[in-house]
Amino acid sequence: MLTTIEQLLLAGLMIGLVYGVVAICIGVIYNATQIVNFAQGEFIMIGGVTAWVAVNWWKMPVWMAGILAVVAGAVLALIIERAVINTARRFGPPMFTYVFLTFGVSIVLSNVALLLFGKNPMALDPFLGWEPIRFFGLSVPSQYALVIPLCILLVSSLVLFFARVPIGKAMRAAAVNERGAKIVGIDTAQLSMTAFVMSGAISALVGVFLTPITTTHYAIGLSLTLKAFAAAILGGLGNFRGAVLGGCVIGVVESLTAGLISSHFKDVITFLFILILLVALPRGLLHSLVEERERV
Amino acid sequence: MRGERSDAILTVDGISKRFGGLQAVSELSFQLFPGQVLGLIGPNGAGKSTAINLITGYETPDTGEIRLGGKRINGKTSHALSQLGLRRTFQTPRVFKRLSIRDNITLAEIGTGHGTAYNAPVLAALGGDAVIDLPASSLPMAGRRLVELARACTGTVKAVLLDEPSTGLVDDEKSVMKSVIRAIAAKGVAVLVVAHDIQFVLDICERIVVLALGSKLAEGEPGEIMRNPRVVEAYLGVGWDQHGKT
Amino acid sequence: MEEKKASASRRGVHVDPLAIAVTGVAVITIGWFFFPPYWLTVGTIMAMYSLPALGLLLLLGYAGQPSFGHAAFFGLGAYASALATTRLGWPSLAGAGLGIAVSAIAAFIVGMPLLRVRGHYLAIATLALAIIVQGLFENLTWLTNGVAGIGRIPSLGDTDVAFAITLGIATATYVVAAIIDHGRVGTILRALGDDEIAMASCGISPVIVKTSVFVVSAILASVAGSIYAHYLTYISPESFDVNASVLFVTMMIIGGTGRVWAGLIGAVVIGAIPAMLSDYSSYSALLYGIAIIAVLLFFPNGMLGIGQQIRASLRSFRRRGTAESADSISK
Repeated sequence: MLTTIEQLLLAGLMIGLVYGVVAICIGVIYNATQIVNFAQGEFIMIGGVTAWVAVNWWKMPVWMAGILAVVAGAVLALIIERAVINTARRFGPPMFTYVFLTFGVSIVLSNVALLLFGKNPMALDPFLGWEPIRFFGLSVPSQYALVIPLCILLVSSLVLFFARVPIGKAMRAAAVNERGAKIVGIDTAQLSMTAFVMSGAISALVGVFLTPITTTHYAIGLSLTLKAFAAAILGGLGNFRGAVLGGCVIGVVESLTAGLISSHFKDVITFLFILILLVALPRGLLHSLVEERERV
Repeated sequence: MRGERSDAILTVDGISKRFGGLQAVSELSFQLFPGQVLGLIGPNGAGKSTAINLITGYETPDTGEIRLGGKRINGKTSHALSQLGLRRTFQTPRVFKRLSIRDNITLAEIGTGHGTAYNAPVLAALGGDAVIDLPASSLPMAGRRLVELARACTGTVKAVLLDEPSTGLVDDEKSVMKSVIRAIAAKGVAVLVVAHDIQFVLDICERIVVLALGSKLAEGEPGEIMRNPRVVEAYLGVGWDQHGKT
Repeated sequence: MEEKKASASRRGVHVDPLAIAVTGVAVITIGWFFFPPYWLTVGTIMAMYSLPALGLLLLLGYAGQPSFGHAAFFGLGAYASALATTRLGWPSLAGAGLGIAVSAIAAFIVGMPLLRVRGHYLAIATLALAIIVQGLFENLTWLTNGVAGIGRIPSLGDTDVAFAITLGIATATYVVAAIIDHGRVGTILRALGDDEIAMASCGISPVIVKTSVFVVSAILASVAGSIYAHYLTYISPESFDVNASVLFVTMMIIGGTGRVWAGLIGAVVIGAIPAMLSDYSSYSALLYGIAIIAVLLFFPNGMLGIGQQIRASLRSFRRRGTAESADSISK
């Protein structure tokens, strides 16, 4: 089905937008808390898995399963923020502690999923049916027509949120100057919770929509996290437009590699590309809000 | 730069720095000469710390040039500048808490060479051999500032930039710091002192540069500066008097 | 000599290289004559893991940098040794040397640019590296035999010989480390752990020091990988997956920060768990994940920290009678 360059590009764009959205979620948490969330990919998995369980075990309609998945993502994110992150905050540990903590959370979540559901991929039926549709003149799986607009909608909403809504603006302020934000009366604890809940909910939603295309299973989290990270870093950590741009770049590279070179080497080459980017441009292509205050 | 002298060890020529919407430093120029103590003062937010950061490699100037011994040093890293002899101390003294005073000095020797000519007066003020093996963490603020200064005067030293060397010190300690700074300058090192404490600066500096809102407001000898109405005006909101109290 | 003793005691737990050498030789001798095979096996594995544990401890404790992909260097060492000895007929030392070279170069290329920026960049990059390296092991079948793995690697010897060799290498490494720690390098490392910016003001580039630490930690992991290959005589890509990295990360955490020698005990114990559970099952990965979180939240100072915390709570317990407030645990 996906054999022409145009189809590969579109597929790349689609998954790239997904990476972009997840990268924004990472950026949201980073801006609000300075924490880099290694468990972000697991929220996507949780979304997909919850929806699968709801549809296959509890016989719910897809729309209800989706809502449940979003709630699950939000709740889980909140639990992690309160139980793990906030506990650590109490004794003011060095920054790398948070990195390890979220990594630990990622390991725990993925292995719990493994123990509960095994290694087999879990699938959902495409929401609009199995017939391929014509999207911009190309024949593609129908789910693309949902994922792409969803991502665009999410990105626009997020950009709007951070530009207009008070708590969103507060998060941007805290990203540039945390003490200043506190002095002005911004409740950084509330920001932290909001950031995590938003990221968890949005990632879970994305996971639900993505599952019909890629299936979900216990191990997808790590790979998604890395790629979303790379997208976020490429665009400047915390910079939303950059994240989307970075995501699309990575998505297209991955898709072209899979289609033109080999699907076995897809991951190796994509991660190699990411590694080279990280090494060559550690500060990303575009500037980020937080990096400004990294200076001595 | 107008009136530029070639015997300066450090020349700052028209440097500027903008952070987002804030012009922190604007077209700043001055020179530092061996054996001279130059003061850099100004109200809060005047850009003094930014200026030091620009000169010592923690930030890169947007415009202008900085020259050490005639050679352009824009964009060089802070450790490279230290090796070239451009040293600094920090607003909050950064000593290696886990190490002894002696080891603190040793690190500067490792990085910039074994010159101990300039740090002798500082070590003497600390207490010399009697204290040199104590851990740096056991010292009070004055001691830490002296350790940091001793470190900055170890090895290759052409110019030393001191960021608020008197903050947190009581009067006796300030006297000690003043005489130490004078002793270092007497050995030929160029010294720049950034301070809020105007009396401190007036006491030891032969020449003073006044910054306000990122630009040089005035430059001259202490007496001239004190009588300059624009300088007084710049500080008006803070309301200082002859005793340097704000 | 006197001055060294004074500063040594204030630096914390400090071990004499001679003491290490003597202990090592003693353990080898006792083990050789008295240990049952099971102890020899566990001992060999612990000695093997004590090498990357040291490297990771330096990396985290002094350079303050997390690495999530040390399995990459471990794997590179193992495969380099395996390929060099089975395909090229090289002697095992040369194979290990190849592993060291490859790992050092990879660490340098990845480390140098990324150690200038915040730690999470390195964490991501090393994770990517680990995935890439494992992917290469799996997919470059013409070179690595893919998932089938490489067998018939020259063995370290019988159980007791393997024990002696591995423990010997570990002892030698630690003796060297202790000697270096006493000297200028030790001072530089402690300064790095204290205040990088102050170090830069002393004319020493923190990036260069951090990169060196990273390269050394990669080399240590590589040597351990080479030992692993010769010990098992068969390796396959699945031993070098994310779970292996998780093991190394857990080791890093348990080891704690700064208190080099005591933390290693905890790290090495963690390393022995796979040997005792005899497979990299998902239970062990889950356990490690929980351990990471638990240790970081409740024992932020690692193994030695636990001792500190117990002592501190005992002290505050006794003080309650005099109505003095409980001291917070000093870092």
